[in-house]
Amino acid sequence: MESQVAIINASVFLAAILLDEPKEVSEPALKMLMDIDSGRVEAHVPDRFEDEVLGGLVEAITKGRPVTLTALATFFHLWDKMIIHRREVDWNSQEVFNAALRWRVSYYDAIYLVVAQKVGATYWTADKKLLRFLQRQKFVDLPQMAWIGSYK
Amino acid sequence: MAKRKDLELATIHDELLRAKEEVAKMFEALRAGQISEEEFKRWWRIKVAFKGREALSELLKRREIARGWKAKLPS
Repeated sequence: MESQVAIINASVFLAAILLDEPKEVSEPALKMLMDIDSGRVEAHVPDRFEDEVLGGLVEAITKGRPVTLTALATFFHLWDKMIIHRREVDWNSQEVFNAALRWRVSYYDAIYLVVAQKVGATYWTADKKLLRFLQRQKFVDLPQMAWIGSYK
Repeated sequence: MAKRKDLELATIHDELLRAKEEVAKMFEALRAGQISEEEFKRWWRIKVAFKGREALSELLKRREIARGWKAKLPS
């Protein structure tokens, strides 16, 4: 069975592990993580994904949220199954900087979009506003993008 | 004081190892069909997920600010 190629950002992981997110987002996000584990999805992420997710967990713990070690262990489990794209090896700061200005997004957004473009993957995110903005701009060189709520 | 901190870190380290084993076991059981998707989701809700009180929307707002959009950071 051929696996689909996806880039996910931190919002997808967060949507899956937060109990208070609506089911229309959390269930497809969890399905994505299950499919990454099983190999149905070949997940690519830039190295920044780790900083984002672990930074988010540290912030949640500091704010007194009941983060379990199982949530942290889940991140490590899935991280081992992802293909990591490293700065100055698989992507470089100059091309990301240029892309951010051209597409009028943040530097962070551009890292994911540039990696998705290189790999030929669909960029999955929980960020509806970003998707709406990019769809309106109609840039021809953008990778495929999708809202995680539509993942099946 | 330092000894107590070392002890706490050692405990966290051991607990994290146990948690990693549990996570690997549950994903493996799901893949092998030993548990249903519903059982896996039930375990996920109890053992993995937590109440984040708008952690995701706060993250998305920070992203908007980084794009120069007119979003306000939560206080």
